[in-house]
Amino acid sequence: MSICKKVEDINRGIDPLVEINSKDLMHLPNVADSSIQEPLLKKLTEEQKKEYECSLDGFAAIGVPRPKSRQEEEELVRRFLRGVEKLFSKEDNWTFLQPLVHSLEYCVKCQLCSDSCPVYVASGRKEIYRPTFRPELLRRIVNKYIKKQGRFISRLTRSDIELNFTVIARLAELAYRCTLCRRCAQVCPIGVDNALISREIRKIFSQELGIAPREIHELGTVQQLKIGSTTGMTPPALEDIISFMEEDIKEKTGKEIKIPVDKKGVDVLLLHNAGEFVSWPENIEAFAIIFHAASISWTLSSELGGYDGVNYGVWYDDIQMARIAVRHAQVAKDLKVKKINVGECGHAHKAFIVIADRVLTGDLNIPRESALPLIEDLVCHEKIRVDPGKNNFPVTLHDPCNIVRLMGIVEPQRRILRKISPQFIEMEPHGVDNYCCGGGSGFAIMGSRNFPDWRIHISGRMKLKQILEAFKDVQDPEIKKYVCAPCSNCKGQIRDLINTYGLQEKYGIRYGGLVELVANAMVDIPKPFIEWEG
Amino acid sequence: MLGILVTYGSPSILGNVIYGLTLATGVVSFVSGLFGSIGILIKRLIDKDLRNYATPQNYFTYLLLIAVFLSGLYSWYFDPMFSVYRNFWRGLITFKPIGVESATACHILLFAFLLIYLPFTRSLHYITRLFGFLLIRWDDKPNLRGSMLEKKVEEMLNLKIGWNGPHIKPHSTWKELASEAIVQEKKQAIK
Repeated sequence: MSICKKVEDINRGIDPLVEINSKDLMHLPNVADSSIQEPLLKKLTEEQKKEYECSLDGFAAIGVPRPKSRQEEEELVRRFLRGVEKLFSKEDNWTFLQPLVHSLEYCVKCQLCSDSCPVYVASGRKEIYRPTFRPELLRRIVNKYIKKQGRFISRLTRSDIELNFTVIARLAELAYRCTLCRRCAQVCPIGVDNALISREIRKIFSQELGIAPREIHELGTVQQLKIGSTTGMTPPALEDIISFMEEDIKEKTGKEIKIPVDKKGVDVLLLHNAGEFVSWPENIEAFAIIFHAASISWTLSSELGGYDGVNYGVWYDDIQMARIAVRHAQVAKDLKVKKINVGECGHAHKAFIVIADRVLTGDLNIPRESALPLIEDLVCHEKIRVDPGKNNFPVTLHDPCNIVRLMGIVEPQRRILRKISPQFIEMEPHGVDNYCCGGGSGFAIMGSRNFPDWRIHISGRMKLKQILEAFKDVQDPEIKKYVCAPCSNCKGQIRDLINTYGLQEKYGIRYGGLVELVANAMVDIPKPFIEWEG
Repeated sequence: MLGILVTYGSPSILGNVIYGLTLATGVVSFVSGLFGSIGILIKRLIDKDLRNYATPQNYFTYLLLIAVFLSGLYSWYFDPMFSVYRNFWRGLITFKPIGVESATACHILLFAFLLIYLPFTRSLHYITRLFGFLLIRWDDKPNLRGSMLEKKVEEMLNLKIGWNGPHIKPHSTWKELASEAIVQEKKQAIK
């Protein structure tokens, strides 16, 4: 049963405010006769409940520790409000001030965006997940505590809200129930960006209170700035992985291909998500094979931070975001490359190509592009030879939000697939109307407590449904199927969806990137590049 | 207003045209405005999702709009040629105020209040939408070297940050903070 029906209910002392039950969730399509097994949702332990505030929905993404005394709580409220104030100052928030103010002021709460939100719909339309819910909560806090509206006006604007630790902690958790996919912003007739507001709320907590999920801050941006990568991979470890990959390429293709590292003055610095080195080296290998075949002048970097293109700052913190973007640009500057191409990583596209455009100036402002149009050029203008017959299996394409909706790169990946995959099936909806994989904005790497259950069952549910529907006419597990996701983060999420629901055993569905399919179709590689087992 | 008789069958063609236009636009706006403001009130009230997020101010705005359109329609009944109304505004501009019917007076007062009140609502945002929509959502102008935009970004990077997070050195500018990590690293390398 859902207790929270209105924004005012955020003040209610019920634990949890909204109960998530498997039976309330959006129905999945009945695929074949074996209905999909719904795994149980993990509950928090009593100790965890004691330590952290998790009375929002019974899940804890950040795990906000409870204050130990009344004074500590009051201090937290004061500091929180100072943070809210800074969101509206030019000095502290010139980067996002305009869209924030416009989105807060312009929204008329027509609720047109609600049904576009995969989290809201998949959860069985729980009020707290509605895209307008958290902006409205912030709006009311601003009305009462920052604009200091009197009693009469605050009644007129319904802003009578009482701030205490519970409300603040619920708001913090709530900011991590939105994947920042910006599908709501896409459908808004006046351009209100409610996803941006989720990120602005995260900024209050990180930039003022030092509260952020451990995986994103300590193990994420802090670790990346210190040792080079969020994966913990150091430059010497990178060297080992690269020589392993060269051997692997030789084994798979019979070719001696040297992966160029730290070559100065080349055309392209290729920036990968370091997750690829650790979990999906075949993606980096495929890039190397394709670039080698097309004689591209390119290099990887082994500089601190130059081999991990991720920028977790894009999810929660402008200062960390700027630090990492500057680091990446510095590496490219030192290597004197002509341009940087971002590999298959959606958030790196958003951070480094789009947002960093308002951070990098002078000689740090080096041309930054997506790798997808480059690959398109090589495949479609026949700079490499492909035989689509080698990819004769059903393929569906997942559109990463940041590459497609944010940047408008829609067709290059499709033109590639039409050329190399004879059985290409579109998901519905796709292109700029796509659904997020459910792992966006840090969720795919946030593994603390019971949060992964929330990510799989709620934020990833819409994508799961889309994948099942795309392959509804080819359910036989003997027919191998491929979900092509040109984004490291989306791949991680889709892997977890496939494993949790057993889609590989039941329906023969596996996943991978885009360049792997290209390498698999290349004429001068005798063996199939994609390995279906394992 | 310019000595032209504005009515149906006026000797001046212009008079006829102005009369026809006033009648057409006036009546169409009154009727559609009334329909819309009553409609939106009903919609906000019966749709649970809209009602939950509606504020008393929303309802006040709708009621005010209904009153403006209704009083207009009512005063039109007493002033079918809009001549009193036209003379009132002429009097206002030429500093020779005239008295009007109480129904018209009521409409004029309500309409004047609406004009003052509009900026406090969200209704005027639809005008900025026409000009600013693409700018707000997709401000895609590339930041090219040597451009005005780059200069502006440079300026902003020199602003001081007031955030108090543990990872932020107080009293630094954006620029200092963003390149700080590299500076530290270089120092270590020198040592």
